[in-house]
Amino acid sequence: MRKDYNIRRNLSARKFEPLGWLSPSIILFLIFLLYPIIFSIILSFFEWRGYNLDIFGNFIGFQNYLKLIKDSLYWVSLKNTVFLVLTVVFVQNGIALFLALIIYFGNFKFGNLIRAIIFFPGVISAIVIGLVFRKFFELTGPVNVLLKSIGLDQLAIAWLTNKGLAIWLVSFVTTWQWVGYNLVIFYAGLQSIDGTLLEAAFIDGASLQRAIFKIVLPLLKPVIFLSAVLNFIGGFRVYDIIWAMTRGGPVHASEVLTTYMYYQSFQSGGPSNMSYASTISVTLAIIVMIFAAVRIKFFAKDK
Amino acid sequence: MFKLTIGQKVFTRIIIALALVIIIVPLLWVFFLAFKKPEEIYQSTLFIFPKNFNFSLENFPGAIKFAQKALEVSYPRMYLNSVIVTAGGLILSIFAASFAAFAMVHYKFRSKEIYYTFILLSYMIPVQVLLIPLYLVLLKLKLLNSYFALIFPYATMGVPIATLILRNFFAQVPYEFTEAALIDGASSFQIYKNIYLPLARPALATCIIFLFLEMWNEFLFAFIFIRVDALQTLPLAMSRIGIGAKFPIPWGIYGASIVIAVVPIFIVFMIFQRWFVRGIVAGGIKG
Repeated sequence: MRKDYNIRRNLSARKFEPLGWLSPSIILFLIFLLYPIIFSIILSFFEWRGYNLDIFGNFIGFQNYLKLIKDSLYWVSLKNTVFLVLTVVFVQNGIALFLALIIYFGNFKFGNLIRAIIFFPGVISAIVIGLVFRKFFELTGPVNVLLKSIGLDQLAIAWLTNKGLAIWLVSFVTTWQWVGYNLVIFYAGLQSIDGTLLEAAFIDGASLQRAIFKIVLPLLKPVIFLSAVLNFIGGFRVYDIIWAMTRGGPVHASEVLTTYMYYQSFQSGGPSNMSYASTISVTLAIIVMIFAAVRIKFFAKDK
Repeated sequence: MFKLTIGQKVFTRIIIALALVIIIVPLLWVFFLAFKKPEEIYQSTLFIFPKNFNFSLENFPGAIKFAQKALEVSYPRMYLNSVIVTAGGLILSIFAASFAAFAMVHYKFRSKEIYYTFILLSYMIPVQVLLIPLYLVLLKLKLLNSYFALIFPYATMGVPIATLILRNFFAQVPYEFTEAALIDGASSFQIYKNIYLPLARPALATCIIFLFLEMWNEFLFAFIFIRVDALQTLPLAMSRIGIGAKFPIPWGIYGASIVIAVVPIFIVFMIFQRWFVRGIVAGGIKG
């Protein structure tokens, strides 16, 4: 533990010094983070449509929250959000872990290059990735050309305007973009494993599968857990890729909480129900914060 | 370290080859789309690989013209806008975060734990919660439709993770350095400037890369807070060639536009690849 720092200084005069150092961040937090959060929570108890500036003129208590329960679009959005979150937590993480193990144990000559290529989509804006895949899955796009060329003409459909498929495709593209991100994290976790442990196991004649399940995965558990929580929180925040690929459509079929919140508030021609949108965002924040707290607790214990 | 059997060797190669194909094909398709002559686009094998590789730059002037006409902003201007908001957000958040990280390591104070927990929580808050109130705050401050409408929110979003990364790094600076400086009569600011900052250069680079990615690609804030065509950032302008585009856009020009948007980040990625990886790992694990 660091000693208190008070050599040749008067302690009482130093009391406010940390505050001085913290003040730039505190000012930013107060104006652009804390105030907006509190504002959003308070707004969720009012009715405000955004046409006038009389924001807190109509107090309606919990009515916005009661409205959520009866709002079928809210449940569709929540269902899609959960679907997307489960995909990135389990499928995306699983694939990333699998690939990381293969690259780590596979003795690849170009391991670094392979990781860089798989990671590359993660540095491109999700809007641009969305543009790529929108055309990719278009009626006359390459996916359908491929399907037709192998005689599956009846499968060549307008993928993204199919109500049942839209959220699956969004989930696929999200996984495609971010799998390398998790891969990089897992690979760093693998590299931090003590190599002598594995060597000893292999000298004792352990098979690769056995070494992975008995040594590597148990040691990697904290990284796997953190990566899962990271994806969990990230999954709830997904917005850009849906905006670029489907805009929540067709007919709200691929709406998630974030896009539905936008639809209720800023969407031109939408309901412009600012307070209701705030309510949606508050429920989103509550879910995320519960899991953020779990992560912090785990993180504190880990240290 | 471990000798793979033939079967394992084949299996790992097939899996990785498959993964690479899935990642590369969509990107390669756009790349070919951009460099194919308009009349050749439909003659490609499977609509992906060009039959004959005579590349043409024909689509690029088209894309540049399209941006000016349909997006009402030129590519250099989009880049300038993105550079300004990213640089502004970066500088402000690194400045605020390095101060905060220094305070957390250099001083003992009672509310430190509270501040730390607050930072951990705020790192994970979904930005959608802030959207409506931020809009009103920026409206009140008369900052809407200006670079500051993005710089301040970006900086605020960046401070938590940057503070965490820098704090972890600062904590490793040996206390003897501080002690020696104090005996020489150095002020806290001198210790920050002459000891901590120079030693933390790798951590600063990590932070910058991590925040750069978030700010450079940010869309939602830009979409809501910037309604002036000339100030559109790259993702904002690009979003307008997709769904709901006012003008029809030919395949070749579509591809060329994407290539123009991606090539610079590709070059940055190639140069700083190692730092990108470090940034992601630091942001993911240590955060």
